[in-house]
Amino acid sequence: MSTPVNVLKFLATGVAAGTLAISSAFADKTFDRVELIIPYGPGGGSSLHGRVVADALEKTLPGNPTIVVRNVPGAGSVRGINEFNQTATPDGNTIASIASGTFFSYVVDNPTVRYPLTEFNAFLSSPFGVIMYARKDQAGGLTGNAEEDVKKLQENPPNYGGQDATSSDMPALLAMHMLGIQPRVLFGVSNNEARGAFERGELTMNYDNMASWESGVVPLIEDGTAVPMFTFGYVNEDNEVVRDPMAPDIPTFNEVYEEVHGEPLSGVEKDIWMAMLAIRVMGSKMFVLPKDTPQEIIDIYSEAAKQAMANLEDDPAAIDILGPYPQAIGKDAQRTMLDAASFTEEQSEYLRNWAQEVYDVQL
Amino acid sequence: MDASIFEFAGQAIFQLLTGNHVLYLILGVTLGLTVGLLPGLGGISGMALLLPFVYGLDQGSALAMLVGLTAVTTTSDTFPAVLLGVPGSSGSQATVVDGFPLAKQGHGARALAAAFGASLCGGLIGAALLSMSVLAARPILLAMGFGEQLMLVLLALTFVGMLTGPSMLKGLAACGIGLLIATIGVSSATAQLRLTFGVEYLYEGIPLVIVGLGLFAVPEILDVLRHQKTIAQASPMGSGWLKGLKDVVKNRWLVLRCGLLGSTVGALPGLGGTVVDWIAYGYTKQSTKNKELFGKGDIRGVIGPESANNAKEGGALIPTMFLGIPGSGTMALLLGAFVMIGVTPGRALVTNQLDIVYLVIWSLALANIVGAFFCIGLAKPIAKITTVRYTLIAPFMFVLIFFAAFQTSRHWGDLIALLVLGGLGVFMKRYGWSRAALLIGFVLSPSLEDAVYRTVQIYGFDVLLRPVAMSLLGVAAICLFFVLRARDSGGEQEVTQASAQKRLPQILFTLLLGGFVVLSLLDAQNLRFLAYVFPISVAVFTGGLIVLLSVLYISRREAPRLFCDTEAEYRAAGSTARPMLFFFGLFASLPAISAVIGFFLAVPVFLALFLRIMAQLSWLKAMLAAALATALLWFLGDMLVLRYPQGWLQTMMNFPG
Repeated sequence: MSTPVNVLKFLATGVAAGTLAISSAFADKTFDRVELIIPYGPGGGSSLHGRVVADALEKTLPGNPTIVVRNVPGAGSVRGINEFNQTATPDGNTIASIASGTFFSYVVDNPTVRYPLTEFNAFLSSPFGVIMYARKDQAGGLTGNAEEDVKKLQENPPNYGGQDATSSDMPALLAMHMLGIQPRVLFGVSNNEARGAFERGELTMNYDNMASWESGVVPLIEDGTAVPMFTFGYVNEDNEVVRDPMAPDIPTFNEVYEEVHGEPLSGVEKDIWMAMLAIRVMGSKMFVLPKDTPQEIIDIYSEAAKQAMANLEDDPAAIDILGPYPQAIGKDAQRTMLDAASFTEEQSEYLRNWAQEVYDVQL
Repeated sequence: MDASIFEFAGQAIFQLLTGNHVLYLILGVTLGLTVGLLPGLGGISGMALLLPFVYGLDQGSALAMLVGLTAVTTTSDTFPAVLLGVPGSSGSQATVVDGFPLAKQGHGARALAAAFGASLCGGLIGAALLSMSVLAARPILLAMGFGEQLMLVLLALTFVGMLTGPSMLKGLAACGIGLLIATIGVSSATAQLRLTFGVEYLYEGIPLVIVGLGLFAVPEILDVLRHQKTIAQASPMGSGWLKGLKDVVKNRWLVLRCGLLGSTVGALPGLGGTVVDWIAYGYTKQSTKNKELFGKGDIRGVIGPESANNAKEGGALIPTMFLGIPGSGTMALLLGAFVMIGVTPGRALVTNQLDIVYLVIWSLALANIVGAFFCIGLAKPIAKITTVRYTLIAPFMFVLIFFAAFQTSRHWGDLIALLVLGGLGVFMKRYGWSRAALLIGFVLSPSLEDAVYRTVQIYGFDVLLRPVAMSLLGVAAICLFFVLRARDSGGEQEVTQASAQKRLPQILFTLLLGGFVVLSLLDAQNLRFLAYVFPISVAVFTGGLIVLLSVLYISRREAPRLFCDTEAEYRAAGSTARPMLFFFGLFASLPAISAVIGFFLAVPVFLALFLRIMAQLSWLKAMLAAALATALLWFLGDMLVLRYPQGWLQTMMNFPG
């Protein structure tokens, strides 16, 4: 509660709650002011996505509420989501945006995490692909043929820059590990810094969100600086990994793995990779309601999200931010979240060993 | 340059001056001036505020508004920096050093006008550089690798030498302490926690705004409150705003050099925009003659940093627009806003959307002109605040800086960190330790650590073979030579025998700083190599200086550059002011009351009591003023979706806070 306005609102909510208790239905539930907590600083990918979706939701939620965006950055996304979990009441008046980082902090048991991720109620999940690429002028010249290039990179380790081994860089590091590439890694390098260093030739391997594909990566490929290695791919309704709809000519990680190793990804490595895909691609940006939210409110939000996404289909600015990916709504979004957040003991064990052996990091 | 560039430039200015664009530009400028004026809120807050409205605007109007906002926050932040000694944003920290003494001497309007004139010129220089870099920026930016970035940081660090205060040893030790304070939080190379002692607030490190407010604003406010009736102690004739503009004309070459320096630093990776003002200040001091007045009210100390901090924005737009790589928080936000309105920064912008590029450049230039004229017009009336009884201003200042501090991470820790750093600032001022040196160390610390680590990883000793890096190192060496030759002249306070006689408190304070060094040495024991190598190196260096200082303190009989205790000097001069502790207690009472009833309720209670008891207003007036301030706070909170620190009361029940 921040200001006296809230006292009035508190009273109003009390009155409203009383009325609702009598009718015991949410059928005419309307919203007046909804708070959206974005656990990252303003201006990043999550904020752009959050604002575009919030703008559309304002028009489709009953009562056409004002959605007030509040950025609460800190400790990755942990601080904002901790606060959301602690303060949000399950009445639909507070929602949060979560992203890959929220999952990574949760699945590696980061000690600062105090949110029960799997108890949140996701009502919208926006997938976004990932592309890995490498500088052409390394290891005696890369060719663009994935199998050959991986062999060259196994012998001549590339330079890679990332935040740290246990957050959003984990899938990229794991992918290289599974392909037998042992990069020299510079930690503490932000995405923007990594892109600059890649262009200067100091870093020779990099990954990007597909949002930068047209503007950032394609020009590098066209002028001969970079060759694409693979995309993370995209998981379709049949739970198969298919090529990324934004770059259908680039093979997926699974394809490259099979070419390099002569056999398809399987066993615990496959499970781990599917989990990484769920976190990094399928659930890269999600909207959630707090735990214990009544099903009726989840349904209202799911319906509003469905309409909102339909309205955004022709909006060019929204297409830039959402990409050509199908949006998961309601139960589908919740399933994506559970997929991304559940790890078996075997998988956790694999990750722990990997982090310990390769990066000397205790998970 | 081919003709089409002029064509695009012409079209763009036509587009800007027709239709609604100018209106949106002025709207952006107005908002930018407002957030610049309020300490703690800067370009980032303003941009975050604008973002929701940008979505859906046409490209030209949105760009004019966004650029208008970015361009002028560093213009208006000078008002509080000069008049109240509180930087309005981190871009005007260095302005305080000479600006506030000028205001104390009654030259407030002159200092402001000089600052705005310099800001205007700096902004135009930045816009000019931006327009020239359309074709040439890329190769230069791509030549600045990790090795070159390291040398840039070293170059910036040599300017600390100009800011050490009378004692070089104390200045360097202060810089070392700054470097160490900045290592608090997550180590970027290993993601391990350093010096956090399990306190969650410290995980993110201490925010720059709080270090700046604590070191500079708190001691200044308390000092004025304690020793003076009003900020301006004299009202000299012929010191109006015209004089300030004449100062700018007189120092035109300084303006030009600092403008170029500012936009270059803004454009290059590795340093970050927040040190621009300090680098410009150090440069100004080093490159001018007659340095005696610096720190005591030299107009050039205002003109230098102010030309640089506005020029920085034009420079910072270069990598943002042409590479799609933002160099600062504000620029990252601007990049996001660009994407929202369908402009994709990057190499394609120059080839496909040159009209957009020129629209941005013209908006930048126009916004700087409009902003500066607004501010110059307001300089004279607003400068009158320095003649108001200070007991009427001080309580609002307390509210303002705690408000500002809390906006940095919206955590109770912000208030406590401000108290601790405020205490540190008070003692540093008293014992003649350079606060600027500490601050510059603090700001450069992460850049230095990252650059060292990255250079070693990527290049090793091969960095010695890189010509650009070596040229920069050469420039740094030359700077160091000049810095050492031009020794810092004097402190703010004339030192007499009184300081030498009362030495024990000075020694204890030195040992206290030593304690922090030891603490960081102990803390480093549990870290991995890449996390401890930097703090341990700095701690050993700083520890050595502190041991040396302690020995000198104890063994020397006379060392006028070393010994300094302004308190002893005041007493010796017969001052009967109440002890500093009393005023610090007043200052601390605001967070203390907030801890019980929450900040929002504490503000009216604190203001009413302070105005009644300290300023001896009638109860009616005191309460009226308190109510007004609280209403403003509420309005701000509602507009900007701000939160205020909660107290015990709010945890007990659902009570406004």
